[in-house]
Amino acid sequence: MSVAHPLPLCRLPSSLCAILRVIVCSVILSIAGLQAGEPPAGASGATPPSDASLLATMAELTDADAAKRKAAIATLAQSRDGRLVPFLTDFSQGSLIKVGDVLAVGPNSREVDGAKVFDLLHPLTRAPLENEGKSWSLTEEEAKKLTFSASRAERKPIADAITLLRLFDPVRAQRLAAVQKAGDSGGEINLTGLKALQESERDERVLRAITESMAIINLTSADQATRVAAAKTLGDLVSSRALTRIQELAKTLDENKPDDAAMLAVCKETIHATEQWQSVARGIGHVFSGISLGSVLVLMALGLSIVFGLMGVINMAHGEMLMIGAYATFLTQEMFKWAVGAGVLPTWAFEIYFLVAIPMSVVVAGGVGLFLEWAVIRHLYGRPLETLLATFGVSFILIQSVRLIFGNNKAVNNPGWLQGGWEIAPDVIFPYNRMFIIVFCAVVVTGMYLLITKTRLGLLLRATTQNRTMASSLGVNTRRIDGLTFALGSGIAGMAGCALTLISNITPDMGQAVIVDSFMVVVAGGVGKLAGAIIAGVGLGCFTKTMEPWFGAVWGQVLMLAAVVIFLQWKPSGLFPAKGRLADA
Amino acid sequence: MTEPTASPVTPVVDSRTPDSGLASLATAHRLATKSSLWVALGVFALVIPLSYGAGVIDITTLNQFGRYLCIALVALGLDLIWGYTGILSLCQMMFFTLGGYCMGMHLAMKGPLQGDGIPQALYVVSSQVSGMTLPWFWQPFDSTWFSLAAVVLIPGLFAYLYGWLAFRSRVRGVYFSIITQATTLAATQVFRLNDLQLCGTNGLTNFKTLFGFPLEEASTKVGLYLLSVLALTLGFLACRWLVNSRAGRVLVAIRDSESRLRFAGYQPVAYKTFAFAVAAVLGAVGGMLYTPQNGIITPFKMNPEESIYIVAMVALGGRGTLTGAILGSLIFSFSYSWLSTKFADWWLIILGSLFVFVILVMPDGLVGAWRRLGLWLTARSQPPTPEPTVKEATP
Repeated sequence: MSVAHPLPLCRLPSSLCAILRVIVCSVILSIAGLQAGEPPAGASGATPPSDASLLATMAELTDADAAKRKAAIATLAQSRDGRLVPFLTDFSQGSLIKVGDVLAVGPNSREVDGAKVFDLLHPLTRAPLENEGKSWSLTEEEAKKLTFSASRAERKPIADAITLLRLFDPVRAQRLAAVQKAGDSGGEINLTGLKALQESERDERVLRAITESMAIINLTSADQATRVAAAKTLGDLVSSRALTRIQELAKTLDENKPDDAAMLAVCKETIHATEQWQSVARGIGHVFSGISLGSVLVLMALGLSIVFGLMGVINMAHGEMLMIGAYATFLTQEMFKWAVGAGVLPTWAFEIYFLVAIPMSVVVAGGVGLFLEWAVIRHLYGRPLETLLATFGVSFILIQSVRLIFGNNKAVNNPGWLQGGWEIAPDVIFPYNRMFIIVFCAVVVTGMYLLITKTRLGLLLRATTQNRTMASSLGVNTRRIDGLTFALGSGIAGMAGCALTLISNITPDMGQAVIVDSFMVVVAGGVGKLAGAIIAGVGLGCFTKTMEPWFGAVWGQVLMLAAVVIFLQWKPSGLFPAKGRLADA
Repeated sequence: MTEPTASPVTPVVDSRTPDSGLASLATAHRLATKSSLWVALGVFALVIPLSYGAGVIDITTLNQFGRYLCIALVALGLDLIWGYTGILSLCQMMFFTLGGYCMGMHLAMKGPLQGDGIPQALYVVSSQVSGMTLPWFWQPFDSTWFSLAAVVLIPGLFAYLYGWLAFRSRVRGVYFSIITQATTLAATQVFRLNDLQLCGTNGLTNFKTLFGFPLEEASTKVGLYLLSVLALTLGFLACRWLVNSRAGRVLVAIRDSESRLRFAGYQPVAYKTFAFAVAAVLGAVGGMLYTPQNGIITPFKMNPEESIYIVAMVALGGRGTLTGAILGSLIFSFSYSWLSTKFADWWLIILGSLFVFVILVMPDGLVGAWRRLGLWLTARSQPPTPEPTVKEATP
């Protein structure tokens, strides 16, 4: 196993080394998982006991003989059936009921005519029991006589059994949590339980957690070799859970003692490997969130760039279109909340509010854009600086109006299907909402590309951009194209705002935060160039967002600005400059 | 007093019979235009200080006027670069703040000191409590002459270098505006950092004396006010001399057709860079005088909106006219302090509407409207000239 000998690998860049480690480890683990997945033939106790024998053992808990009860608890603990967790909890809390031969639990009571009534449940399935066609319940007095509870001496074995059985929970997430908890609480019993689970477990992540937890427990083993092996395993797993433990452990070790020295070396290696991996994981996380913010920037820059290319207009209120899109999303959510609350829509409908919010934000922001073009911008045609100032005024008006109407800070709830994330490697989680934003922006950009290159509107748009007079004399209604394009650009900004609500708060001045960056994208990408906007947007978005954690947000921005200014020295008209006659237009 | 016809004005040609009643109005208009500058100078240099002396206005109001005059200097600079040269710079308040910081550092060094000669303002925001030494870049600001030189040189050289880099690579029009806006935004954020040892968001404050005069004293405030009047007057005269000179004609030519000028053998880069640096120095001098009158200078003065306000001032007064820049800035400053306290919620909406209104309806501002009025009066009161000289409208 090359991972156990990091020396040859460490000649590579250390981050690469850490990545390799994880890849190798996950391969090894998945192979181990496959092997463990095969039912071990002939292994005794691997197959869980049948429900009937289980129920018989459970019934023995009501036996008068303490030795028999003890044996029953031990048997149940070995049964590997997660359903026994609530049963044993009920038993230790005194809710086990035996009516004649029927075993039941009655943890829940309810009030009937002022008296407490206990409903009987099946001990395994926890389905309500029935008696003569009605749900079977006992009064408090009846229940008192028939109840069995664990004695003080039995509580500890039962608690241990519960810990062990939790590991066999049928729900994966519960099992994973139990495995992690087992590692944290330690002890021989957990180790045995984990070993038992390892044999039957098929899920890779749970298997990894099992190995990790076992190694954590083994760190405190009495055997020196086991301890060293455990530390080594944790290093191979780059376990962030174990990092503090190992750091603490390393502090207690004495370099001069021969026994400790070997362990200390392994610990140091493990700490190094884990920290290395954590910084790699953080880096990947930053780049990922950089890409997601960069893709929002691309949408913003796209709208700006098309409008600027077509009309020579810098729309300072473009950021406010984003803000309007975000508020449209918020309003859609509120409408859905109201509708679900009033019973107009079923509860599940709330989950899809976001899909409705997307067209809403486009329509609202596009509508405001259309109005703005009609009311202000078309009167300033051919005067770019004046337009810049007028739209600046418009942005003041929009920000303050929204603030007066809605107040300062709003947020939307991400729908359930956008919560959580995808853990592609240990500690590297790609949140679903950011993944959604990236995909969403990619779809919109593709749509825009098709719109511009394949449709009639796109053709007219390109014609007007290239030569307005000629297009006009050929019968293109350039004013209408202007209006439509402006609305389109605003609509895209609205969509960007809608997407941004998934990862940030909604404030009246949220557009101001992205507008300067989007302008930088337009400047660097060249005006009116789709490809330029995309490349510069993703590039600058990733550049700043990736620089931020290392240099701080401020220096990241300064660096970006400096980069753009220097870039313009080299390519004054952006990445994709207009050529020929268009160049000086 | 005549100014170069920098602003495109199209005379109204009216062929109706002259009206004798309007003739006197036209004369009055001419007289008012001619005397306006002397009147303004008289009001600011004599009437306001004298009415303070007579107890009509208090020292706070006088101090406020002084600060408005400093802002007017920034507007004057912007008018030079935008109104005459056609380059919309959105970072004039950055130069103002740089000048203000140079002065502020000097004032802080002369104010109460803590520990090892650390100015109070720096001491309170520093994370180092013990064993802190004065950062090297603070030390020279102890000298008055160095500080005064820094006020001019730091913003001036920065603007010169920045302008040279930008204009050399032909960054023009809205591109330049956007980059300057990004620059002032970045500068705000940099100055807000505590690590920079420029007092972070708190800004420079705790000033006590200026050249040995206590700042609390009313007499010092009057002195600073008169200094501001003097600075604005000199700035105005210098700008007027500049725009009337040959170089000024080149600046207007750059605005109207840069390519043509280049083809004629001129180097627009040098002129643009020069104008940009002069505008920056004007702003910095404004900042220098503003800081002691305001008692504090913070990085928030560099916020992009602040520079946009300056643009609004010049647009309101009338760009391409130096009087317009000053007039606009004074009107703006007064209405700002009045409206933003009286209608705090509506202030931004009023301001935004003003922007849209001025640009859509009064593209050449108040001075332009005044000139139109004069031309209209003259045209109506005189028999129509056979061939009216219509100047070519410029973009």
